[in-house]
Amino acid sequence: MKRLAHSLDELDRRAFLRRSAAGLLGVGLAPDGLLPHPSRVGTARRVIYLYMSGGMSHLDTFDPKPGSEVMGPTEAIPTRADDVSIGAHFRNLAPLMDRVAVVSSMSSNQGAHVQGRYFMHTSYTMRGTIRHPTLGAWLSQLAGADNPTLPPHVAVGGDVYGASGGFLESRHYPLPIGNPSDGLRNAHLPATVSEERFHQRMDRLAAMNAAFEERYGGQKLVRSYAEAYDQAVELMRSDDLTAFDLEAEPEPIRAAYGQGRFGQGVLLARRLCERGVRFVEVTDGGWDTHVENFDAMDEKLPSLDQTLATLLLDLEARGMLEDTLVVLATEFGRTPEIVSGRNGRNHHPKAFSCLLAGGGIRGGQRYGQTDERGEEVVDRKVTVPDFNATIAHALGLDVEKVHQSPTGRPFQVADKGRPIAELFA
Amino acid sequence: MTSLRLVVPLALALVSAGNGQDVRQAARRVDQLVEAGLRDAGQRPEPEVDASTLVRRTFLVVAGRAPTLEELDRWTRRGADHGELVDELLASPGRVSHAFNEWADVLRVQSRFGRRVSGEPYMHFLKDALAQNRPYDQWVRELLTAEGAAHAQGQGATGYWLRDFEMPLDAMSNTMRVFLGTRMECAQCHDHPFEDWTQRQFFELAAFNGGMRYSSIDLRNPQRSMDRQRANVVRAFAQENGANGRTVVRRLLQDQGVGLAGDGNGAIRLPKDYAYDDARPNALVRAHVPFGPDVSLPEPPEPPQAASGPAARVRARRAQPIEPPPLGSREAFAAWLTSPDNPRFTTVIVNRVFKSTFGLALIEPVDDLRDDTVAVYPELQEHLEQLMRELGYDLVAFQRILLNTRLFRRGAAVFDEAGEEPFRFSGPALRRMSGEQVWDSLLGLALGDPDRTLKAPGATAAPIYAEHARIAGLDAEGLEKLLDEEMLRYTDRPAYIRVVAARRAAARERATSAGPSTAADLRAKIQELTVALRKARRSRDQDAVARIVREIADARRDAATQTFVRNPQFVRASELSQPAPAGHFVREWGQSDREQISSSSLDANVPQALQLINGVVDARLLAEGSALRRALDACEDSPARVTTAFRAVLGRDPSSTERRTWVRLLEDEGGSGVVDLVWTLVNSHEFRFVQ
Repeated sequence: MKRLAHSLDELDRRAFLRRSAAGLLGVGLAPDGLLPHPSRVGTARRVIYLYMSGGMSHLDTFDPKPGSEVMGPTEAIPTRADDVSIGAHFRNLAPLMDRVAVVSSMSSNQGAHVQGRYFMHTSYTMRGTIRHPTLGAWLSQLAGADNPTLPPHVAVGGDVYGASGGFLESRHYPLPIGNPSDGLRNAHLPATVSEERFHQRMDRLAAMNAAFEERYGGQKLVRSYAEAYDQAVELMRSDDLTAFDLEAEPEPIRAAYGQGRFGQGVLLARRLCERGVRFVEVTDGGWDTHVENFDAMDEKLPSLDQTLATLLLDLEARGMLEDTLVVLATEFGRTPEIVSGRNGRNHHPKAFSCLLAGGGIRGGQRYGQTDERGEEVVDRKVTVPDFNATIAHALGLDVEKVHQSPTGRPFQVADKGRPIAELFA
Repeated sequence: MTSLRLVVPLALALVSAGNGQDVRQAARRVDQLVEAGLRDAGQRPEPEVDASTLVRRTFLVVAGRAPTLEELDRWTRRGADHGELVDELLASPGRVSHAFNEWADVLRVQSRFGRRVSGEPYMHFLKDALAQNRPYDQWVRELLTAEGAAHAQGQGATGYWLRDFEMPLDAMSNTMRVFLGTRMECAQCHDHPFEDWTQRQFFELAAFNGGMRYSSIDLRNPQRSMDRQRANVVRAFAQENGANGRTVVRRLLQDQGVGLAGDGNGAIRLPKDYAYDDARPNALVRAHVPFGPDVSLPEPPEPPQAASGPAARVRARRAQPIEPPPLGSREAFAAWLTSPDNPRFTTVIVNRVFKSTFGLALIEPVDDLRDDTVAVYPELQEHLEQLMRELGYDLVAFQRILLNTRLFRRGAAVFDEAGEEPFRFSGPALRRMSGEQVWDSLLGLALGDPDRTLKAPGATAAPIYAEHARIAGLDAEGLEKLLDEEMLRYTDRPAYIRVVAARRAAARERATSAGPSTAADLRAKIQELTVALRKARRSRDQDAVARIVREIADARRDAATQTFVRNPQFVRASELSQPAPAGHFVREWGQSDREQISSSSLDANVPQALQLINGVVDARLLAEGSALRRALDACEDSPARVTTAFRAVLGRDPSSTERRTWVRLLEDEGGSGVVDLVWTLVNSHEFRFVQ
C-alpha cells in the first residue's frame, strides 16, 4: 500500500514539474478544469499560514489603485479573475488568481508591530495578564494530531513572536524550526552511534529506569517522560521524519519554491502538511518599509510571487488544495502617502489585504473594498477576529463555542469574530 | 508614611544570624506540626535519605545545580554536617543565581522590554537585592515606589512598573497577583463574576498610581529638565529641521527619559463605558484599598479658583485638564502592600519559599488566595507567617530554618495531581528540575564549577549606564553634534549607518579592554616554556627537560579547557539573555517566555528527549576539554570510572549490581562503553528528578 501511494506521489510530482516549469517560464498557463473545485464549506484539514512580518503594503501588492498618485512607480496587471487586478510583480500568480480570494477590506486597530502581530495571531488584543493561544495552537488542541508521530503545529522562520500556545498546554505550542534547511534538530543519531548501539543504550536505560518507575510511577510526570521518550524514538524511526529533510526533495522543486529561507520554509511547510501536520506557519521578514518602499518591493515581490505560485500549483498537482487552506497574512497595511525624502510608507492598520486559497475557499474574488486611495474600507469591512473566524470555520472549528482557560476565564477561538460565508465555495 | 513593621524580638534576631541552636529549635517546631498533621491523617513520614541524596538535593534546592565531584566528596565525607552545607550554600553566588531564576519567572524579567527599555538595570537591581539578602518587604517597597531615569545607574527598581510600559491597569492586576496572591484581572473590565471584587474597587486600587508617568523627562516641557544653553540647542535644532528634526529630538528625549516620574496623586478616572450605578462613567475616583488596614491619604487641596479675564481664558484653552496634585499615594500603597498587617503579603511569600524548598506549597496555587482558602496545615501556616514577620522578611534566614528540618531530609514523596487528597508532606514532593537547573547541572559536568561563569550583578548593565551618562553629560556643543548625527538617518542614510557602526565599535572597544584572557595567558606561558625547553635541552639537563615537557602538556590541556570553558554560550542560565532565545536548551526544558507570570513549565516534551538522546552527550559533555572527560580519563580502572560517572551525573555511588554490570560492559567495550554509561545516566529519570 505504501509503495503504491509512493508511486502515485511520483506521478503527481512529474505532472507538477511539467506544469510548474511551464508556468514559471511563462510559456503557458496551468490547464483549467483538471481538478474540480468542490462547493462545500469547511473542507480544510490543515493550514499553511504565510506571515509577512512588518506590515505588507496593500497598495503595492493586492489592492492597487491604478492611475492614482498613491501608487508611486507601482503598476497593476489584470489576472485570470475578472475583477481582480494585482501588483505587476505578480506575473506568476496572476494566472492563478482564480484559486485565490483577496480580502481587501481588512481592518485592525493595532498600529504597532508587536501588538498587531499578537492581534492577528490570536484575535485578542494584548493584555498584561494573559497570553491567548494562536489559531495553530487552538487547532492542535481541538482537532488533535493527524499524524501521531509528527508534532501537530510547527513554526518556521526566525521571528515567531506571538506564535505561542498561550494558556494551552505546551504540546500545542509550535515546534520551532529556525532554518528550514537544517530541519528538526537532534532527530538523528550521532554518526558515532550505530542503530545496534542505540538499541543497547535504550535497553540499559529501560533497566536503569525500571526501579525509579516502580517507586515513583504514581507521579504523572514520570510517566509523561516515559511517553516522551517513546514518542521521540518513534519520531526518529518514523518514515515521516524525512518530511523535515529538504534534501529529499528533487532539486527542480527546491529551485521552483525559491532558494531563500522563505521559499525553502514554504516547501518545508508543504512537506509537513503532506504528512499530516495540522498547522505550519512560515514567517517572512523585511516588510516594514518606512524607507525606500519601492526598492523593497522590487526585491521582495518577485520571490513572494514565485513561492506562492509554486505552492498553489504544487498543492493542486498533489490533490492537496482542497483540504489545505493557504493563508497570507500581515499585521497591517501601509499608508497611501509616500513619505517624501525617504520614499517610504508608514503603518496603516485601517485598511489592508490578506489572501485565502484552497480549503473550500471560493477563489477568483475580491472581497470588500477600499476607497480610491486605499485609505479607508468602504465596503464589507473585515475585522481581524472575522478573518480568523473564517479560517477556523474552514477548518470546521466551532467559533461560537466558549472554552475555559486554566484560571476559568472564557475565550473563543476567534474571540467574537464571525466567519464570512461569501468567501466559501 | 511610617513603617508598620514590628520591632524584631531580640531572641529571634539571633536566628537570622544563623545561630545553630535557635535554627534547630525553630526547625523542630515545623517538624512537630507536620508530623502531627501526618498522624491525624493516618500517614507515615518517609524515612530520611542517605548523605549523597541529601547533598544533591540541597545543592539543587539552594544553588540551583547538582554538586560537582569535589563538592560531593567534601560534603559526603565522614563528619560533614548538613547545617554547615546549608550555611555555605546560602552564602554562595549559586544561591543568588537560582533565586534570580525563580523571581525572573514570577516577575516576567526580560533583557529588553520593547524597543526602548532595557531590562538590564532591573536585572541588576534584583540580583543585587538577592545577593545582599535585603529584606523582602524592603525591596518590594523600592520596586513599587521607584522614580527616575531607568538607564541611569542605581535606578533599576524602575523596571518593575516599566515592565508593563504604559499599561498601568494590567500592571496593577499583576502586582496584586504576584505579591498578594489576589486575582483581580477580571475586575479590570467588569465586576468579578464569582468573587467580591468590583470594577470600582479595582480602579480605586489603580488610583494609587494615578499621575505616574513613564518618563523621567516631562516630554511636554522637555526644556525644563535642561540648562538654558542645551535647551536653546534643542529648540533651534527642531525649528531648523522641520518634522524630521522634531522626530529626532523626540526620540532622543524619549530614549534618555525612559523611567518613572510622579509619586502618585491618588486619583484616577473610571472608564468611559463604566456601567454600574455607583458612579458616572469617566468619574474621578479616589484611592482606596480593598482589604487589610485602611490607608488614609491627605485631602487633596482645593482646585485653583477659576480666574476670569481674557488672559485667563487663553490659559484655560491651552491648559491640560486639571490633574489632582501629588499626594505620595504610591508610597502609601507600597506601605500598605508590604505591611506585616496586610493579611496576604506574608501568606504569599511564606508559601513561595516553602514551595521552593519542598516542591509544593501549603496553599496551592500560591497566587490565587480566596476568602475560603485554607492551608493544608493551618497551624503551620500561621506559625511560619509569624516566623517570617519576626525575622523581618529575611528570606535566607527563613529558608535556613526550612532546610534544617527533618522534613527536608526525608525521602521524596509522590504527588498525585489528580488525587482527591491534598499533599501532606510525608517528605518533600518529588519534582523535576527546572529548565535552568537541568542546564546548570549539565554545565557543571562540562565545566567543573559552573559558578565561575557568574558575573557580579550589574556587569551587563554597565554599558547602558555609561551610554546614559555620556548623553546626559554632553554640553551644548556635544548635544548639537549628536542631534546632527541622528539627523543623518533622514538626510544621508549611508553616512548614518557608518556613524552607528562606529559607535558600536567604540562600545565593543570599551567592553573588551578589561584585560587579557586566561587563554591568552596560557598561550604566552606555553611559548615561554618552549624557550626554556630548548635551553634545557642544550644544557642537557634531563630532569629539567622532563619537568618542562610535563608542564607544557599541562598548559596545553588547560588551554584546551579554557577555550571550551570560555565559550560564551556556556554560562549559567541566569547569565544568558532573559529569556534565553526560543529553541535554546533552557527554553525547551520549560523556561518561561516571560510573557505571563510564573509560566515556566515542568512538562515533558519530545524535543527534550531528542536533546538528551542525540544532542548533548556524545557531542558536548564528553568533548575534548570537558571536566567530566578529564575526570574519567584520570581514573585508573573501570570500577573507578563507573563510580566517577555515577557520582558526577547522579550524585551517588553505583549499587553493587550496577557496578558489576557496567564494569563488565566497560571492559568489553572500552572507550565507547564509558560514553554509553554517561549517556544512560544523563537520560535516566533519576538525573532530571530531584529525589
